[in-house]
This record gives sequence, C-alpha cells and structure tokens, in this order.
Amino acid sequence: MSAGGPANAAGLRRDALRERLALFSLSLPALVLVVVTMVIPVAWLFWLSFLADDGSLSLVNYRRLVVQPSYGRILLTTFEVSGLATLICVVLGYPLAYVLSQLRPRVANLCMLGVLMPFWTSILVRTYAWLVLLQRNGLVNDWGKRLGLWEAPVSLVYNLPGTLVGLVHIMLPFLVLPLYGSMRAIDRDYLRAAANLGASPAAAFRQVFFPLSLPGLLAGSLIVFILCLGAYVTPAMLGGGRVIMVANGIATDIQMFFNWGAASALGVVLLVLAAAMLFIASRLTRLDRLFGSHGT
Amino acid sequence: MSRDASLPISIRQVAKSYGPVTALDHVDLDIRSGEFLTLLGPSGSGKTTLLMVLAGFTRPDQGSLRFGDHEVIRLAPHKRDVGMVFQSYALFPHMDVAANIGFPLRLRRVGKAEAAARVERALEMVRLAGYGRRRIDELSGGQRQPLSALDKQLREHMQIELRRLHEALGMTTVYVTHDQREALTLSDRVAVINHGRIMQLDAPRRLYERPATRFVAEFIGESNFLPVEASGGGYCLAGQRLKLPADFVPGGPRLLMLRPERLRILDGAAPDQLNVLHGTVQDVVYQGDTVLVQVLLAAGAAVAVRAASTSGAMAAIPQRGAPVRLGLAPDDTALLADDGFAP
Amino acid sequence: MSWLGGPASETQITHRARLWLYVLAALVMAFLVLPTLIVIPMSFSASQYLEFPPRHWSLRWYANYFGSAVWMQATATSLKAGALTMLVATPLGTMAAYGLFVSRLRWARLVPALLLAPIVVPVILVGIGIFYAYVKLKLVNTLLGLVLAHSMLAVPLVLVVVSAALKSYDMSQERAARSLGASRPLAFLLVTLPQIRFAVISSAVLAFLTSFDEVVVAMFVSGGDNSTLTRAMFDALRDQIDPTIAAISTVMILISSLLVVLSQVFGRSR
Repeated sequence: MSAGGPANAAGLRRDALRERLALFSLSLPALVLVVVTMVIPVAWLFWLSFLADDGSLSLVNYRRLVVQPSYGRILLTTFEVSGLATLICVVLGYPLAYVLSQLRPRVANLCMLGVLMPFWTSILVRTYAWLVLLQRNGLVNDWGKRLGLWEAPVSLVYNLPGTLVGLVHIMLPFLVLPLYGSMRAIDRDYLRAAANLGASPAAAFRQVFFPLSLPGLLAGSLIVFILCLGAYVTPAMLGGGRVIMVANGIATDIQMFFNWGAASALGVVLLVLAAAMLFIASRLTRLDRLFGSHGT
Repeated sequence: MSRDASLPISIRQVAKSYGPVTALDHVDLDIRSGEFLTLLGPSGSGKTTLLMVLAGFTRPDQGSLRFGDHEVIRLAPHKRDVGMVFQSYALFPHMDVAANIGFPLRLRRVGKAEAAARVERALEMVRLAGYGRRRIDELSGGQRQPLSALDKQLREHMQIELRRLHEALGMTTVYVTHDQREALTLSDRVAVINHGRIMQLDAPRRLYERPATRFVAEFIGESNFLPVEASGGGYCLAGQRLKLPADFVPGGPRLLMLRPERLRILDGAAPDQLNVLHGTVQDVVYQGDTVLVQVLLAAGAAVAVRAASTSGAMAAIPQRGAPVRLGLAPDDTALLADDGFAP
Repeated sequence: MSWLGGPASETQITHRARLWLYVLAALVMAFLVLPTLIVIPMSFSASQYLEFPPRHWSLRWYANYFGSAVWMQATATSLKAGALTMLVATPLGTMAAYGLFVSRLRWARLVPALLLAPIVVPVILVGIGIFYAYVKLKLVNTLLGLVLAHSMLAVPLVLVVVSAALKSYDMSQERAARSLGASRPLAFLLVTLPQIRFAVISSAVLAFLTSFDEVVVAMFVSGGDNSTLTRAMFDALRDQIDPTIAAISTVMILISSLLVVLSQVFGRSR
C-alpha cells in the first residue's frame, strides 16, 4: 500500500492520457491534410477579401458587391435558381421517395442503386447527356414535334430551363436519400392506428405520414438548396452564359480579370450564406424534435 | 510452459468515476485461488465495470490489482492473460471454430501441430469435437455461448456444464450476472454489489440465510420485511418475544426478514421452539410446483407464504378469510439492519 | 392484374387507386437513370452531329479517343490521380474513423466537424483557395498538388462510410481479441478490419471516383501535361460538342460501374 496518496492514481492518469493522445493521433494525418489544403487556403481567401489593390485593409471589395448591379443580379439569379431547383426536386422527389419506402427492402435497395447511379457518373457526363438531349435537334425536341406538342424546335438549353433540368437531375438523389430514410423510419403502426381510428387513406397521409416525413424532407431540401447555391458546372455548361450564379461569377473574376479581391469577397458571401442555411437547418431539426409533428 | 490459471486475485481500493457518477467506490476484494466468484447486482451496480477493470478494458482512477504476486493494474489487456467471455458471443464470424479457438495460440506463436492438438482437446472439453471446420453462423445459440440469451431450461443445463468445466480446469473465475439463482448455482462465493460497493461477500448459503442488509435480502430470493421493536435485550413482534438464532448479535433497530418458503402453515398444536405469527388468509394462488398464500398478519403487514402443492399440504391451508397460524424456526428468524438502500 | 385490387398499405388503399403515383415515380426514376445512359449508344453513332438515335453505327469516336495523344495523356493522369487519391484518402479516413469511434475526447466534436467540412464548403471556394495557395507553393499543374486536393475532398466520404460501418460493428469482438493476447493494432487488423472491409472497399471506390469525376478543383489545379480527363472534357465542351466526348463518357461510365460492381462482389462478407 503506497503511503503517498491513492495507489497508482498518478500512473493511471498518465496511462489514460497516453492512450487518448495515441487515439487522437490516428485522426491527425487526415486533420493535417484538411487543414493545410482547405482551412488555410479558405482562411487566406477570407483575408484577401479585406485587402484593397494596394494591400491595405479595406472594405472596398464588399462595397463593390453592393454598388455594382451585376453582383446584385448574380446573387438574385443564384437564389432564384436554387429556390426553383429545390422546389422541383421536392415535387418530383417526394413521390419517388414515397413509393420506394413502400417497396419491400430488397426491391427498394435495387431501385436505390438506380437513384445512386448519378453519384458514380461524372457531373460532366451527366451535363453532356442533357446537352445532347435538349439541343435544338435533340431527342426532346424531336419527340415534342412528333407528339405534336410544338412545331418549331424549342430552345431548351443554354438558358434557364436547361440549367434547371441539369440541376434537378444532379440534386434529386440528395433529396431522395434522406427523405427515403426518414420515411422508412416511420412506424407502420401509426398508419394502422390512424385507419383504426377512422381516417381515410388520404387523411392518414395528410395528418400522420406527411408530418412525420417532414424532418427528412426539410433536411433534404436544405442540402439541395445549399448545394445549388454553390453550383458551378451546370450553369456554366447548360446556361449558355445567360445563367450566372455566384460560383460562375467567382470563376470569371479570377480567370478573366484576376480580381482576387472581388472573387474572394463573393466567395465569403457564398460561404456565409451556406453556413447560415446550415445553421437554420440545425435549428429547424432540433425544433422539430422538440415539438414533434404539428397537426390537429 | 503453461501459466498458472489458478492465481488468486487481490483488488484494493479500486475507484472509478464518470464525472459525477461513481461507478466503483474504493472496492476491496480478495478472490481465492481456483475459486468461482460471482459479482451479483442490478444494472448500474458496477459489476460489469469491475469485470472490465479486471480484464483491463476500463482504467480505474486509482487502486491496485494483483494476480498472485504481480501488480497488473497498469498492464494492457493483451498482456494480462485473462480469458474473457462476452455477453454478445464475440465469436469471430470471419474465422471457423478451430481458428477462433486457436486464435490466442496463433498470437503466441504456438507451433501448428501443438496448436491443432490443443484446439481438439478444447473442443472435446466443451463437447464440440469435430466441429472445428464449422463456421460460426452454422452453430446454434447454445453451441456459441452458454447462458444469457438462451431459454430457461437450456440455461440451467448450461450452468451445470459450466460448473463441471470449472471443476475440471480449476481456474480462478469471476462471473457477472443479475440473476441471483444463477449466482447461487454456479458460485463458490458471491459478492453482492450495488452503487459501486460490495454489500456482502459470502458463500451462497450464508448469503441466502444470513443477508447482511435489506438490499441483499431483497435481491436474493423473495422476502417480506416487518419492523420489530427492541425490548430488554431482545426483540418483539406485535408484543410477542421472538426466539432468535443462537449466533445472533443484538444491536440497533432491525427488520424481521420473512422468506415465504420458511414460514410453515401450522396445523394443530404449535411446537414449542417455533415463533408463531397470527393472521388471516387473503388469497391462495396455485403455481404448479408450489402454492403461494397471501396472509394478512394481525401485526398489520401482508406476507407471502410458499407451501408445497402436494394434496396433503394443500389440504392444510385454510380458506380465504379464515384465520391461520404461521410457524417460523428460530434459525430462520433473520433480523437485519435497514440500510435504506433500494435494490 | 389482380394485385391492382389488393391493399397497398396499412390504410388499405388499393394499388389501383394510386396507380398514378407509381407511374409518376417510374417517370422520375427514368428521368434519373436514362439520360446518362443515352450517351452510350450515342458514342457509336457515325454522324458528326449529335443525333439520337444514331442512324449509322461506327467506332470512329473511339478511334478518335484512343488515337489521340492528348486524350490518352489526360486519361492516364485521371487514372493515376484517382488511384493515388484512393491510396491516400482510404487509410487516412479509415484511421480517423476508427480513432474517433473509439476515443472519448472532449473535443471530439470539433474534429469530425473539421474532417467533414470539405463536403460542406462550396467547392468553388476550395478550388480558388487551393489555386491561390498552390501558386505560392509552385504546386499548380502537378500531380502531387492534385492528389492532395482530391484526397482532402475524398476523406470526408471515407470517414462517413467507415464510421457508419463501425457503428453497427460489435466492438466486443475486438476486446475479445485483445483479451486473448492481441495488441490493439493487431486486434484491429486481424478482427475488426476484415469485418468492415465492405465499407473500406466501397469508400476506396468512392475516393477513386471522387477524384476521377472531379471537375472544379481540377479546372484550377490541373493543367498542361497534368490535365485531368474532366478538365480536358470541360475545355472541349466549351468549344464544340464533339461526339468524342460521348465515347469518353461511355468509357468513364464503364470504369465507374465496373468499380462499383467489383466492390460489391469483393466487399460482401459471406
């Protein structure tokens, strides 16, 4: 029995610390990589946005964002496009997620492969496919004429509709996946209880199923919206220069004008927007858990 | 050269806290060489934590742990040479049975031939000879793991198997359970543990017949408790002086512990040496192997009496509402301190 | 089609009553899956112009692709970058996933947040930020710079996939191995890793594809001799819609699908 204090306490504390450090060091390489290649460069950009051309600290870059109308247009376009794309994704994605959640797990998993397939094809390939499909003598126009929907070829690409189609195609899986998960998790007994208590199928859906699926829907919508905010390739390829979103503006400022100040300021705005959306998302999901589903 | 598997274990002042929660409260425990000791307690009592400390997976805040002469408290789990059996089987599904058993041998670089022979012997000992090539998912529940997730009969059969193995191998064994019947069946001694502290350490019989505190009495077996008044060097229940066991040591306020099966329904004249309690029969419940009789004592409390279900014994039970006399042998008259602990 | 009258859900609504829903869902599925696939027959079209369905079949675009030194160089770069990214991101992400899962650090919430940040931060920012840094470090247009950037993008994916697998893994197996005499690293290698190998292999494939398919960062960071395939495609698409792109796209789809199928086959524990 040791005379000075509880037995082995100091040694055990040292052992515990050593183990904690050893386990932390497992994450260290990944952390170093992320900090060096992402955190530091982005922080650098942050810093750049507050520098004027002569190197002094100033808000001139942000002032330019407010004063020059082109930037206002860019931000407006970005929100419009992101909002529209998210809306379309919800309208198309909800029914799909619902049907998938009703299938037997094995069949659903197979269909999921189809939903996930866009993930393992390059965004370029997908956007290219839409270019082909939506061009003046492309498949869609062809069939439109054949089905008598229109006479002259409709301009479906190199504009807003084309961009939206491309965006929705890319973002849909991001909505369907969390929504599917949330729908699968809904206890079937709730629906049975609703039917037992006298609810018609439509009422059961409206008052029981839909509210319970809202957390997944909200999560998916926010993910889609945030991703759309930062979209680059799709508006670049399918927008024909008519759809300029924040990411395009940033790229142009760098590649054409070498205006790092403007680009970084715009970038900071984008980052702040994305972070704000994320924050709202986390608040919403927490609130949801607190209050449960609304409804009569 | 095989290491000694029957080393005594000495636990001194082992303490572990998780923030404000005390998991182990300066535990002292001595486990004898070759003994089968069970840590018995409710969930959250600290029994699993103590076992994890023994195995080395939980590092205590302080304390000493010796296997024989060696201080092992700071030793990594893989150096301690303890065999641990997990609740969730923890059999490696990506290896067959022989590879599972031979895993520790392979780690110690035992030669292939010797390892194969030892694996075979081990399989024979657990009555799975010839199962070496089987994959884990081909084994039934009872083959994978004795006890826990098995049904009652299979479990009891397995408990006896476990005792047999322990007797054959003579290893110092520490077992963890919340099932008091299992603890009594398997163990040489049982340590009842609650709130990170050992309440009582005794052989099964003493634990059952002489529980030290109310918590232990309630945790092991069924019992009812009646407060008794101290009077002139002894104790009284409802004014009647109680005949106490020979080894009784008086002192302080006490509770009378009544085990249902130790109360006898008296028929005719009461033998002199028994304590007698008077009451009225409330209910008689037939339970197959025994009959449970609910009695409301004249002293005011309700007690349960367990009687044999033979036709003779049942005939002696008065009807509902009829008066009844219960006999309690002095040796079964256990008075214990009310420690205020809820089990 | 008697099943049409059968109950479709707990509310006993019939299949017939919600047939419209099934049709809608099928259409959306088709919308998701088909467009990518039309690239494949297109690549075999003989015509100079993008036409679908092709009137005449030919392999000229493949000849164009495989015969062009520029395209082949770009393909080689992409494959190399993908393989190296996979080799870097998978161990880094797996180690981090294991370390985070097993430790109980008080700052254990900051570390995963940081490691997941690359998914959350808009990729254009990452692109220009890295470009800026690489200009100073002279890493622009180098394979090393590209691999580092892509690995950073892939690590969060590996982390998420492997962490999910660890969550449903019974850690007492590793403890059992340790009580039997295996040190912690050995127990991980002999017992845990074989059982999460499906997750590790799929995350490796994901890491490869993240790099192989990546456009934005590559646009800023790869160039000249070290241009990636996607960078070359992006530049080509700006100029004219060359059907060679269809051939390249088909090859890319093939490589991706093959990898995914292989990972399913080899990763599955029995």
